[in-house]
Amino acid sequence: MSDVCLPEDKLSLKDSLTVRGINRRKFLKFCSTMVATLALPPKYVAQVATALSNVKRPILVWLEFSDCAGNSESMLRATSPSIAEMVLDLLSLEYHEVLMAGSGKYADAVLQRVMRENDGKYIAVVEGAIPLADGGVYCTIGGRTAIDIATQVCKGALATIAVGACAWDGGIVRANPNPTGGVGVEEAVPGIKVVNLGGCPHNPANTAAVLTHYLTFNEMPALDRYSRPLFAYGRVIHDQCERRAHYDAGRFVQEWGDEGHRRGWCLYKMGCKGPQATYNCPTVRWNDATSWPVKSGHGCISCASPRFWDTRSPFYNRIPDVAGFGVDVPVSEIGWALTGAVTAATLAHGIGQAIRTRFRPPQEATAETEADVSLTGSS
Amino acid sequence: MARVVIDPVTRIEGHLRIEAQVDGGYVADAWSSGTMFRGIELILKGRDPREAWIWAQRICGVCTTVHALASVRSVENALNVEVPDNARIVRNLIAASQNVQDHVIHFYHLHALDWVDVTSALKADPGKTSQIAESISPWPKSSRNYFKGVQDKVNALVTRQQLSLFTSGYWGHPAYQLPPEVNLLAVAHYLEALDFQRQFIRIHAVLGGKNPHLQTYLVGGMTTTVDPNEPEAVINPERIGLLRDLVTQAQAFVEQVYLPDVLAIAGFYREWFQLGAGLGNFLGYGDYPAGSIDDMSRFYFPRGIVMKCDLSKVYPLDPMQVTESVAHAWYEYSGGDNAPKHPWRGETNPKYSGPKPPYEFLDVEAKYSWLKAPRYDGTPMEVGPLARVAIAYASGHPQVKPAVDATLKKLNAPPAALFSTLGRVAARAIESQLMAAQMTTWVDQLENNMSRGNLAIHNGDMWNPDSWPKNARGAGFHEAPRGSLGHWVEIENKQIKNYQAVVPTTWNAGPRDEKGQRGAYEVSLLKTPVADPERPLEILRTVHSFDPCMGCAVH
Amino acid sequence: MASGTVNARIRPEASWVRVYVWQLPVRLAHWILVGCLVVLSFTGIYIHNPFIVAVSDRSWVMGTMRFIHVMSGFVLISALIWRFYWFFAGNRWARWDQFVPFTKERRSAMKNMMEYYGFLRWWPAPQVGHNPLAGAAYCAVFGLLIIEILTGLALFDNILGNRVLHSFIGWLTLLINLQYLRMIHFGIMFLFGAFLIHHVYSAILISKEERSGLMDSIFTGYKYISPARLSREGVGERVERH
Ligand code: HEM
Ligand code: HEM
Ligand code: NFV
Ligand code: SF4
Ligand code: SF4
Ligand code: F3S
Ligand SMILES: [Mg+2]
Repeated sequence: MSDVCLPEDKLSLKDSLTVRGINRRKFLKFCSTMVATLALPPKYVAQVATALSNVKRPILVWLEFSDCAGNSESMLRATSPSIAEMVLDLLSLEYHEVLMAGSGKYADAVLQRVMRENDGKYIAVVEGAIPLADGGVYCTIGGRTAIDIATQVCKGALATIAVGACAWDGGIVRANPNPTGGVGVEEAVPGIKVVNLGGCPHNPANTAAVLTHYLTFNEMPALDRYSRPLFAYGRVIHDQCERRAHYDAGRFVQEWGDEGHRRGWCLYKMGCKGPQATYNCPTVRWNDATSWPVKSGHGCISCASPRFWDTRSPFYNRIPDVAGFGVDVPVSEIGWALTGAVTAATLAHGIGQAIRTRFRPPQEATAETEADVSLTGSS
Repeated sequence: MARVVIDPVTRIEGHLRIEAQVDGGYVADAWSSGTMFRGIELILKGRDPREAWIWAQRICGVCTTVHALASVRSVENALNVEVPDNARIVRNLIAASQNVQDHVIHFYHLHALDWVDVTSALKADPGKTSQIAESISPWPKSSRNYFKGVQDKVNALVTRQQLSLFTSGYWGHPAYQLPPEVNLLAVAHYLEALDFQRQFIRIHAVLGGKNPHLQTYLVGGMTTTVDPNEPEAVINPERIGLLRDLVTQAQAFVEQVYLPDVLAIAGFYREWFQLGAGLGNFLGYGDYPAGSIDDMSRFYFPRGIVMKCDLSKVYPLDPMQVTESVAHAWYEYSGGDNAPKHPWRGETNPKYSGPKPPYEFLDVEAKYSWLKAPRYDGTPMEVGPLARVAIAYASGHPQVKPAVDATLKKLNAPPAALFSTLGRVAARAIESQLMAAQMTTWVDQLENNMSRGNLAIHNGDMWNPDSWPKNARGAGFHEAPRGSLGHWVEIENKQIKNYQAVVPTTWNAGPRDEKGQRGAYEVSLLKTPVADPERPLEILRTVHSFDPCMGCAVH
Repeated sequence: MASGTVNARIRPEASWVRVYVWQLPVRLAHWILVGCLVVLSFTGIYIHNPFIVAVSDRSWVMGTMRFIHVMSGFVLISALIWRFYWFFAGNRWARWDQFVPFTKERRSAMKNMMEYYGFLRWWPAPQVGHNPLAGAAYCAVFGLLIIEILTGLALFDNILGNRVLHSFIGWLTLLINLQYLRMIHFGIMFLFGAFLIHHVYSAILISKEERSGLMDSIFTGYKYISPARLSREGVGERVERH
């Protein structure tokens, strides 16, 4: 949506479009419509809606597996277009367990009908991880396993959009020790076309943008190596953060609630993972662009990064603990201990050396001869 | 005799399966099963207790934030940390707004379609709808043209044969009793509520950074700094203004839309004040502290127990009496599956023994759910808005009692009517009204503290893990939208050793226990009329009246 | 054979020969390396845990530290590349084979050194170039430097978002998560610290034991070697003598 055309994102999107041979005029037109959208959201939506009213709206089915429904809720909070505009004007959201009218057999019948009548033409959205351990018994719907349903629905889809960390790479479900063998949809159903929208949850502004891009250009936006849209996941949070000037200056929050904290200083020392995170939270923000975690005083936990639960935690430390030392221990502790140990060993050796110089035989008698011996290899 | 299976139960959070035995048009027996398990209690083990809330919050994204709160309280309880007053207020505001938000979404988007026939709205006369709207509420969006517009929108869906979310409802079912005009009113408000919820929840963005999954808790307080003179402080005079605006919006919506709609719809379904009563035993940990979290006498919602629908007595509650049974749940207990465990000794050892998928029916004689069965002193209890309202009412609560009496008067119903499917719906609306009103008080307190120079937001005494005892354990409680939530944490060597969550929907949707006692859903479904076993709308009504959340329940 | 060059402070045997062992590039690379490591460690520790908290509005502490860190990182990279080139272009003691105990002789001399350090042998065996044990240690240091550089570049790639750099090092974050790269980058710093302690100690120690002027040699390039040793190592006429 509007977000696509925020100054930072314009380039990457434009690039991606030119690369794909979409002409510039079309892009600029799209863009100016978007910018106009910023001031007058309903008009833009109406326009797109009119454009689409002649054709049947694309059908969306939203599958939930091992999830918390946070991504569904997040979608409900979308602003431009709002969820009402999205599901009533832009798309036909035919299956979404959180919201749909029908239950049980009636619900399943819808899914089967969509797959039958629109084979290869509908978009599947997946929320939640797919548990593979023990035959998939950790998530069943209508008596069928998540993997069974995902395979059937995603294979028949035009494209699959994985929303949230869980659907992308297993998310929290897959965090150590991954009790249910959860994985993301791309791994669970190999060979399908996936757009990954990480985050915990995903930011609906980006999802709306992806869908709009698809509706406008009939294809998905440019993706990175994790199949994520570049416009949303291409930049480091830290580089877009409003506290960045404090970081560069060296003004850090030292303790929660201290003066620096109240004045909006940088949260780096409190564990902020902004430098390790890519996402567009600082520009798009959340809930009608009201705020984002760092603005509200807590560090970023890098929730849109690969396997972030295990790789970005402990969230209040800057870098991960080292596993395998009985209990996890920070690197700095190991490092200082090692340095200390080497110093101690060196000192001990020095003392030993001082003692032995007092009573050892003279060098002439030994060193050269030994060297000779060693050089001839006969010792 | 028919075995009715509803799987998936939709318009809920997560994966719920109901199996019911229908005999002569009535439910003779019912089984409630959760069909998804993630193991978050296991994933929490070995982690830093200070960040447990970040993980635990992901138990649910619908009642987001509530697990964060219970979790952070459990760790604070273990480490004996008291949070500053500002943090208490911010937490109350976050929780109360979650409560209102969740209830509004529940009523309009998860529950309404059990009572409202969308297709019937097409037959409505928008002028009459306008008259009805104006007769029940001063809400400004009530013109004939407005309702005509909504009707056109629905009409467009039907003509295009793309009903979107409204595909596959049990439209035309004989149990739908609203006149077309009221159906149209409800559909209009369904759409308005979609807008309301996303606007109102900006309050969570301010105080939590984002919604769902807020990110401003800390063991010992919050990150929402308070400062009257700093533009970058999270809470400053400007933000107080925004909070006030949002709270005012919520009050208007709840009082002028939500509550009148509940009353209007309930008026057409009076028999549902007799159906779905359920257990009649209610439990509430109480919540919304006015001071210290340990000072339960000053909670907004009191802690206590009401037994057998008896509103004349409130029993004290002792969290040590809470246990969970796995006799019919797919877990193993080290001491045998028939010996329920208190969460301090709680275990989560998944062991599936149900039918191999794909399957048609569960073996309900054996284990049949991923939910454990919580019990209080061995007795199944109902938790939730109705429990809170009943306990507060029975305690003579100065705000709850008059609000309930006023609503009952409008409905022309006795207090006993509360113990029913519609009673739950009404309790939820009353609670939203009270919470929305109460939020003003908390914003005032916050502003007052700020202007008096009380800026403390975090208590850092125990932030450094080196200051912790080697072993500690704590329990954190919260009254979440769906009811009483408890997290129990055990800490050893600065790490989480054991973590157990006993969740509202686990109480309500849990399976039978080792004594064969049914859970709240299972009991309340008994004797539900089912006009058409192929379209078990009535079963959904009662199940939905609890606002099921299965991600919560199993976690 | 040169005479009168006997350094009184070192006091080698009068007959020993002054040999130009460490050519200028080796010494330069060594001291640039040392300088960079000190600067990189200091700025790195600051980046890890900013212990100076600025209050002034005009300060730029973290910015400066990171700038210095990355800049000296590139100096280090250059010095190392230069040194690697000299592995092939330098004299026989600068060559790459000095760092890996390929020959039986070097292996047994290495054993000899270990025994010496372990108090199982009274004296170390003097060497013209690196003793094989030291050589192996330097080899490990070179290896760690490469890892440090690769991880450092990957971290820099994350900051810079430059296409060229990304195509050079971007694969690393696919292999190892950025956070672990950061952890490795940080952890290896301590290994350099530990190495330094031992390295300086043994340089002083062996210098004294061999009386070869080893300590001075890393500044001047010259060591004192007994003629017998030189001929035994079979390099007699080919080395540069003074
Ligand atoms: C060889 C000696 C080096 C040492 C001892 C060293 C040490 C460190 C340390 C301790 C950190 C902080 C890690 C953390 O806690 O986040 C760091 C960060 C970093 N280092 Fe190095 N480093 C070295 C070489 C390099 C090189 C060759 C480069 C390449 C340009 C480099 C680039 C970086 C970058 C980009 C960062 C991250 C800075 C940031 O996040 O702002 N380092 N280094
Ligand atoms: C962190 C700092 C240091 C590192 C990483 C380091 C590393 C090295 C390396 C790799 C070599 C082999 C030279 C080559 O062939 O290129 C070397 C040799 C040498 N370094 Fe250092 N060095 C450090 C500090 C020092 C200091 C402070 C001194 C003196 C006070 C010193 C004295 C020497 C000497 C005497 C040699 C030749 C020793 C031999 O071959 O056994 N080094 N050093
Ligand atoms: N049950 C439940 Fe929740 C609530 N309210 C949790 O504590 O919904 Ni997800
Ligand atoms: S990614 Fe996060 S918000 Fe989405 S389902 Fe998973 S836990 Fe919930
Ligand atoms: S608060 Fe976080 S993202 Fe922002 S500048 Fe500081 S470290 Fe970077
Ligand atoms: S935690 Fe997630 S929401 Fe944004 S600020 Fe960090 S990526
Ligand atoms: Mg539990």
